[in-house]
Amino acid sequence: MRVRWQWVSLLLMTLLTLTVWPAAGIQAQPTAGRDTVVIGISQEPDFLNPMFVEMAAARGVQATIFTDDVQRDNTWKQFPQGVEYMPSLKDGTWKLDGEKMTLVWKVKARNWSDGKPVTCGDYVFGNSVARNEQVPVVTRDITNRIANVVCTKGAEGLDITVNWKERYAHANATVTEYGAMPRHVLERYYRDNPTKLNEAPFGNDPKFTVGDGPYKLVEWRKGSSLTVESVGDHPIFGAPKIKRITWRFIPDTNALVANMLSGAIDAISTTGITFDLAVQLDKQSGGRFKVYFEPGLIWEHIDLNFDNPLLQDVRVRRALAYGINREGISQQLFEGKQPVSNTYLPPRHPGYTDAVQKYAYDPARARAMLQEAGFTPGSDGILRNAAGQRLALELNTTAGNRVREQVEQIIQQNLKDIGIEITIQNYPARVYFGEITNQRKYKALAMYAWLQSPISDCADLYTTDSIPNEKNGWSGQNYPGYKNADMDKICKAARSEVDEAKRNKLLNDSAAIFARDLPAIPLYIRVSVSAAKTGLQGYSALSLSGTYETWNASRWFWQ
Amino acid sequence: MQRYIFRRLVQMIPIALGISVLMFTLLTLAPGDPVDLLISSDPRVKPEDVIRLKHLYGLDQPIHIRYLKWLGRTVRGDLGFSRTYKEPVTELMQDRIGNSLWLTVTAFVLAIAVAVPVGIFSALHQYSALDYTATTFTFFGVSIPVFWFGIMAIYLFAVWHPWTQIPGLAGLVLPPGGISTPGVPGGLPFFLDRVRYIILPSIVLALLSMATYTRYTRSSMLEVIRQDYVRTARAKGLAEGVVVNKHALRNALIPLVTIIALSISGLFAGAPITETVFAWPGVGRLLVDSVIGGDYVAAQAVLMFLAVLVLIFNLIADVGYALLDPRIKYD
Repeated sequence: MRVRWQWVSLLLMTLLTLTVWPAAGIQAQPTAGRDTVVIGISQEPDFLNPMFVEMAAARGVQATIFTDDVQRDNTWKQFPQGVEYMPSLKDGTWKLDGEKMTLVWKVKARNWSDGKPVTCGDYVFGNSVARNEQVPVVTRDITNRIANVVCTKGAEGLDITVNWKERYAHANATVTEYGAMPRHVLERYYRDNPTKLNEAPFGNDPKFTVGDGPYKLVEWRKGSSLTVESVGDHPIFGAPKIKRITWRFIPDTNALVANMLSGAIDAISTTGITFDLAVQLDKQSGGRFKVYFEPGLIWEHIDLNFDNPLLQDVRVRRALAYGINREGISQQLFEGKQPVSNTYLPPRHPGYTDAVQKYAYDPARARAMLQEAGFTPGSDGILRNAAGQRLALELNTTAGNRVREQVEQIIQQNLKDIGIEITIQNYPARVYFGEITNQRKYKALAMYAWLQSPISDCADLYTTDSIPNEKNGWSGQNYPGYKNADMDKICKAARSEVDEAKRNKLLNDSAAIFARDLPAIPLYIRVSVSAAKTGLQGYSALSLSGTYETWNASRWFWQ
Repeated sequence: MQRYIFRRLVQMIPIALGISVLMFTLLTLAPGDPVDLLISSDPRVKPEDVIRLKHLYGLDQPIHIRYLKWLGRTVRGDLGFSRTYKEPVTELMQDRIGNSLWLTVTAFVLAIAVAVPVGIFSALHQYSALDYTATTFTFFGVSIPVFWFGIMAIYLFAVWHPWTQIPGLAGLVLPPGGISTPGVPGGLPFFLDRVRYIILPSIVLALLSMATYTRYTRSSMLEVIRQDYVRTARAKGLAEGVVVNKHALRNALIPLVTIIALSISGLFAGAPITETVFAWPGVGRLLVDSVIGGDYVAAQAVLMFLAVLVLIFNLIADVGYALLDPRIKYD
């Protein structure tokens, strides 16, 4: 019998040894040592070649392995990163010539991670690849506006002149659309078959991926993790204290939270958890980690379909805005952390203004407006117009989105109180965004979010030209079908206005028209949520559709 | 038998083609192609980009042309290039199948190793305390949703620390997900690292099938031990061990073997929910992510591969059944 117990003990000891893992009490410490940061992320990057990247997750990694020409900090302010200065009209480095423009740049000297220097030739190459219609780059919006890129001191030099075919407001935010591309690595794939350039190993296989940032890609275990390592002393970024950053891909957001609680990861990326999970996580942090709630760019709103006769009357649209308790939604569902929005631009956007018509919750005023518009209550309490048509509207959103479904229920109740019947009909995201909204098939109200950027304007959202229809192949994002000649003029002018002050004034005007006409009911601005262990210094929860929390990773350190 | 197998193999061709048409049509007809979805997730993308990319990826062509092009490539062994993972689908699937098999086979072996003895014991000692315990356990095993059980297991073994304060139990904290620790060198440390990561997901995954197999074994065994030939074996004075192992068990296992053969194709399919909860990069997760991400090339390849496997293992199950049970003959 004694012998048997010895075997059992041995078996237990073996099991314990095999399963050794950092125990309680040390979760606030770095997961994998003081020179490493492990970030949990719910998405896996699709690719790291800047020309073909579609996912936000990839941009977070790219910020560590590439140098941006111009970057934004955590206050959304631009600063020159890979260039010596940002061209300006004042010092003559940005010249206007009628509708054309010229910008003169000087690039900071640095090398690719394989030791080859970054040159003007790399910028010219990147631009010519993006111009080639056979190459499936994601967007060519800026490339199409550029006439040519000239190396003023030869292809090996660092002086670049970019000639633009037309005026573009944000021309000094990037030398070319995709910046420098390593010609010595990519050119042979490009010459072989430009249509298959997105299948080249650059940006996918660490052996073939070179960058010009403070880190280089060293390992990518598909479906599992990705690791970058410091390149050493970098002429722009110096020598990072964090030598290694690993992203672990954890698609289930509950599991991501569990990983943070267990200490198996040091941080959760802004491409990680939902707002409600972040609130829960915050309550469980116990001082081991900090949960960040930062103002973001995602704008939740309800589009109003102008094809619906009931919604063509501005008094009805305004009554809807007065009748929805948006402040209540913000307080009840988000503890006030996701503030009510009054216009289509987020508050930190340079073109934002608070001086617009606002619609604080006022059911009495909403009822009065509807009465003025000719609606009288029927026997069932629902309003009817002179023709006897009930004020009944359908509200759509993405099925399975718990937060939006809760918002829908509050809206339904609020509007019932002022005599409007709301029926809810939700669709899977694929159907909703692939058919219902973009082909304007929603009957009345469509709730969803636009992901804005710091340079977003109204040209794509609220101009007559951007109303999707069958003729234009359902292109355009003016899903309400809103038409206003003044808005068209202002939005188009804003996109090409190079003077920042004038551009912001135009955007202010567009916000005022938006708030007056209400093609959409602004609901709230979503915050970027993220978490990091308290010892990780320099981390900020930034999510700017292009700039993410890793914008300053080379300056992070463990306290 | 050979003629039967040949006939079944030939029949598989039109069936596989039919499946491919059905899958291709269903995937393609789903509203919103991957490029459509780009515009709502990336403010840089303009309507002109959507039109251009649809043309470049051939998404603007009629469905029958796209199907024929896909079929032509697939027959030549080219499964295409995944738009989401930017990798040839063949390579992508090789890695994922390996990972899935590591998980599913471990869970499968675990399930069989527990379920068969428990099922037999439960049947032989019907209405005993162990039988009630096993029946209750199987009831829970079948009823508990795997995503919930997975999260609970993570919380219990990886997050909830008070119980690990008990001396000697701290080491039982397990990794809360993933397949291995990045940077661990190859060889024995790598293997041990992989073992640590597989413990939780394999137990969670095994639980469901464990419960199912226990119920099958128990009911099949109960049916067999009441047969006349078992009573005859006992009557002629054979030892209980011989009666159970040689006469009852062999016959009781026939239906179980068939179920196991049929579930082998499922092993290659991975376990989408368990793989998602435990961040396990397997085939199941690949399929789900591909469908959600609109990566039809990858989704179509995985689905087709799994469909062919099901056809093959169904044939193997039928043939195996005939080999195990001499009363069954195919002509």
